[in-house]
Amino acid sequence: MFSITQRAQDVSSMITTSIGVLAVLISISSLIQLYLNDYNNLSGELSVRKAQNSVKFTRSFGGNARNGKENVRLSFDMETDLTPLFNWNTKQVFVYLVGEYDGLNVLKKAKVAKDESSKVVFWDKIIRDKADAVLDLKNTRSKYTVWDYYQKMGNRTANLKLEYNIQPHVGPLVWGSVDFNYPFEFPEPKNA
Amino acid sequence: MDQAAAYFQENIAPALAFNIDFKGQEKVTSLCQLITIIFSVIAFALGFILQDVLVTGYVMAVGTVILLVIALPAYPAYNKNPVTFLKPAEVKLPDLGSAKAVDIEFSN
Repeated sequence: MFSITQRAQDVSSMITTSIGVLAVLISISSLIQLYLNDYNNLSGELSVRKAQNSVKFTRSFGGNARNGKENVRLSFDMETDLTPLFNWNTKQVFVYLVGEYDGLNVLKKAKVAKDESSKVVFWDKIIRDKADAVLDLKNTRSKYTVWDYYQKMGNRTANLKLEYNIQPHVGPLVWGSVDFNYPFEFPEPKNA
Repeated sequence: MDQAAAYFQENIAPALAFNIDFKGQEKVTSLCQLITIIFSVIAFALGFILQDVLVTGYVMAVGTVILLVIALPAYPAYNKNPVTFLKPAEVKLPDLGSAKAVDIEFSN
């Protein structure tokens, strides 16, 4: 603290230390808030209005000229309240509508058959503000067309859920999901 | 160039150092620590109450500016107890007259 440079160094060291402590406290407090809000046990409702399965023969849809790929699109209604995910440390929440279904074992050479599940994303959204956290979607079309590793998609049953990734200002990322308990059977292709 | 450097070290650098005395250093250190802690607590509390982490950041920014204003200049209040050095002791040297250094012979 003798000269001006020493005093500048000491002040910056104090500030840096206090900011580090604050960051830890903020992160811990926001995690506690999330757990108190029961962030991983939110309820919501979903219903699929229309599902479409069409076979595509272009590479941008996963197929090629000889082998078609079944592409599934949806339109759906969804209602859920994600405000419990927002606290003072939430920067944004990334939500995505996922279909999870039993996959075929991709590695055919593997001797042990594993219970593999495939996940496909139909729709997603970035929510930046608490005011936008109540989702009430009517007849929304899926953002992405969805296909499997294998050609067939029809007749397989997927469980639809809304997964989310909470991105904080400081601290670890947190994942969770709203399980709609909505078994959804992919339709057969119409132009097979 | 050497002369310029020497001039800078002797006449300009001490004026830019803004030195303060020991009591002043103690004062600044404890004052800055106190202010840092107070601002951290206020920042956390205000941010938590308003549920906005940006508020915490702004309060800490204000605190940093205040700290710099308090700590950096060498205010007269920090120089009230200057160190007084002892006067150099007087040592009597033998009168060597007109003898030159090379003429002196040391003997046991």
